[in-house]
Amino acid sequence: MDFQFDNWYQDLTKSNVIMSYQGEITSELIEKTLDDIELVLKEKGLNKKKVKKAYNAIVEELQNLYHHALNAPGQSPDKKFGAFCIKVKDDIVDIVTGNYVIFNVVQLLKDRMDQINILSKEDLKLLYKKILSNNSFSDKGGGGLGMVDLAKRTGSKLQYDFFEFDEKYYFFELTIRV
Amino acid sequence: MDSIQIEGTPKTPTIEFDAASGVVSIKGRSIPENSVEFYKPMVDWLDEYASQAKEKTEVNIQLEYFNTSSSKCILDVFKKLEVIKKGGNDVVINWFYEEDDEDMLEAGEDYQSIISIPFEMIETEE
Repeated sequence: MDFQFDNWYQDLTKSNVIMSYQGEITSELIEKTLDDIELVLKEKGLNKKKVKKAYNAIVEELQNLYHHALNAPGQSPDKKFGAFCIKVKDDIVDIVTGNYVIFNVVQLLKDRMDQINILSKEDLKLLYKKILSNNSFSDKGGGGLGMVDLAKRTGSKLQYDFFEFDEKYYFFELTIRV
Repeated sequence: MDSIQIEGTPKTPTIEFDAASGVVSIKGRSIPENSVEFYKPMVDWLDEYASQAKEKTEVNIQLEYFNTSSSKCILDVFKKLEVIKKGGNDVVINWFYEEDDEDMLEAGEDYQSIISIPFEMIETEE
């Protein structure tokens, strides 16, 4: 069955949600979210260390979304479209983002995340340092440093899913657990 | 040469680069979306400072958060400082981290292993 964004978002935001959003992704939105989320995490009674780790991961994931999100298929190309949801249950924070990607990057993204997911903590550290010191990259990041950093700092696997929307677009879901 | 003083914001750190004293400080949060743009004046400043560096340059890095794009820019700052060190001047980097913030300590250690400048790891109380 073809991907239905509304169903996906509804499922995603069923339970344990402390913040969620779907729509245009702008710099102002990211800024406002980052301003608010730290307090919300603290209010959930998470310890300082956990709040810090989660906040770091949220910064990276939301900025990834800002840099890489496309427009929704059929919508204005100037409007980046995406969704995110932050959930907390029993001291575990899940940060989920979703955005459309062009079909031809799907395999590349999968390969990159699979490669990161099989690395040990030590190997992640080595890879992080290698990319940091060798690659020249733009403000968008690049070189996969953001993904490596997420895996390295959170110590968890990058959980992903791709849903086919049509022959051109896929929908990319990424979850980071802290 | 002029100093740089930039007040911190929720997304960008407080910057104090003082040529007269040779003290360079970056403190606070560094999570701008466009880090290259933010850090460019500091990188340029260090280029100019290199020719008139103090006998000792003291660098204080006290960050609460920094994003991936900042991590590259901070490395660029360190690389400029490395040139000053290689030119025969003394440079020391004080890397501050809050107690229990292992990620920040580890980030400092990562830089330490890439850059040929002595690092002092300094734990601060929360």
